[in-house]
Amino acid sequence: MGLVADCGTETTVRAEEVCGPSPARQGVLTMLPMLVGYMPFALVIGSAAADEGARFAGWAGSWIVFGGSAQLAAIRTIDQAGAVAAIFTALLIHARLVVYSSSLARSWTGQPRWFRVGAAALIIDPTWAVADRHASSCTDPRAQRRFFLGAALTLGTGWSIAMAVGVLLGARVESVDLQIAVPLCLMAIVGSGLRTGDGRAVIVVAAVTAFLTAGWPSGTGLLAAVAAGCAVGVAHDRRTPR
Amino acid sequence: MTWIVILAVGLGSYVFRVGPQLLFERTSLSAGGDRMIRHAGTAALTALARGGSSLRLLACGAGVYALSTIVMGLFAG
Repeated sequence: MGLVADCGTETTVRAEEVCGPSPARQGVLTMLPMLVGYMPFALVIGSAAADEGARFAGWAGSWIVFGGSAQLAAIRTIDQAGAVAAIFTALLIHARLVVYSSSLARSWTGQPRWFRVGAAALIIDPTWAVADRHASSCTDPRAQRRFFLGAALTLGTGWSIAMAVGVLLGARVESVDLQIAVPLCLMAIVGSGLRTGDGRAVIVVAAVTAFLTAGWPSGTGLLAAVAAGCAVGVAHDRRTPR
Repeated sequence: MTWIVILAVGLGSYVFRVGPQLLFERTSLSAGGDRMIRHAGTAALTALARGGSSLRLLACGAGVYALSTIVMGLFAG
């Protein structure tokens, strides 16, 4: 562990007890079930890219964009509204990444710069969720680093392979409605938040706002739901003594 | 055209991702700010989960949630 040289064996043993003996393996195993949920979504995006006649660009987006909803919105908007609208729509959907990265920045204060700059490229909904949860129980920077890389590279590799398969299969994938898997996977991630009062308030308000703003232009409803959920969470925190 | 869009979205997304890492390198968020960011993250995940067909989601959501929680527990445990 990272603390061997600085603090001696006793601290190392303590870090292992809290963080587990193999954080990278733990990260891989934590991400695998989520990857199963995300693979159908990657197939759909690969298929959409093949339909647009941009097989390689579509597949390359699996690593370059590293975000399914934004990539799919971009691919589907190019023909309808042009490149500028596609870029704007995708970036609006990805604005939430600022929130995820800000949240992880606090946990990563002890991390070297190369990791913060490199690992930032792999921040997305599931990697944020598992890294945030892991950081709350394990404070050893090296263990956090290995856990994140194990989880994020597992997601990235599986995501990229599934998208390549979607590109090769093309329109055959579109006939099967596989996108249902992603919302279900996200529900599993946020489900643990229902245990606390503030978590329940945030989830209920964000869900209701998301439903009410479903007809809004791409990405704006998402931001409205984030703002509403956030406001209710802050109000709940102020009312509840800690 | 698709290449330009993918590269532009990738670049913009990376700015969103790396910006806070560089911004909070020397300064840190207050406890209240950190809680607010956490609420925003949970709200974002919830809003994204709204996608797909609502009726089918409600019909099989509970079962799949239970199943995926068990699977995640088995793998992570």
